Amino acid sequence: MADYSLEWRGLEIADQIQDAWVDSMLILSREFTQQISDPKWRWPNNPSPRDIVDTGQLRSSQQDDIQRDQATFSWPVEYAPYVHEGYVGIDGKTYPARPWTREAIKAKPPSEIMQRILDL
Amino acid sequence: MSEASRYVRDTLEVLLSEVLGRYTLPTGQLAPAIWHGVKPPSDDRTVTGLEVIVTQTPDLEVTPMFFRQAAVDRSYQVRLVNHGDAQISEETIAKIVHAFIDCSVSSLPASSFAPEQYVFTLNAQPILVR
Repeated sequence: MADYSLEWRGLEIADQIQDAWVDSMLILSREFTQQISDPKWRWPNNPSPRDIVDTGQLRSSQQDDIQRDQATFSWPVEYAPYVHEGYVGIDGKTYPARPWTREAIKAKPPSEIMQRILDL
Repeated sequence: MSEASRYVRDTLEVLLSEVLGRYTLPTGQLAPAIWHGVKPPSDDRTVTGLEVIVTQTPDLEVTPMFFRQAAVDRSYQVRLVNHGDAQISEETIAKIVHAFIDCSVSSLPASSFAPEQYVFTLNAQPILVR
């Protein structure tokens, strides 16, 4: 009979998956910044499209907390959710949504990025 | 596509009839404050109370499938804008969620530059393209 042996290095595999997760989140973090800077968003005034940087506060406010099992990205400026979801202003004007997080996840889907990293 | 957004608009008009605000038209006539259009409502509209804005054009997402088929996911955006003094009630939000189930909602509190508003994304049945 043939002599078979199987060595299951589960901890090593788990480590590689966690490394891939962290790398994919770092890529996503850069993509968020890229999306905010992208001159593609509809704007109520000319020139449109344009980027959503304006004062730069939104872009520079990005805070990343990337752990080995979860990641949190935040933009702690008052107007961030209004820019993301669009809004009707007190002046009655409609400001279109510029959902940079959804666009970043579409452009760099974390599961696909992780898969590519693990395939290397 | 516009039939689906028309259905959304008509459903909301009935559902929110008790809390819906009013547009004052240039003629002085009053109309329910529910907007349904490709473009956003005009900046100079006169509105009181709760305004509902239904976007006629859906967001589309195409997923390629086997045998040259594709699934087209459609979602419609509905925005509630509070031009009144009282907060938008949880009951109002619950009515919309209950009617459209497959939806998500974001809240934007009142601020120095915007009144209180809620943004709903309502997902419609995907279309299979062959």
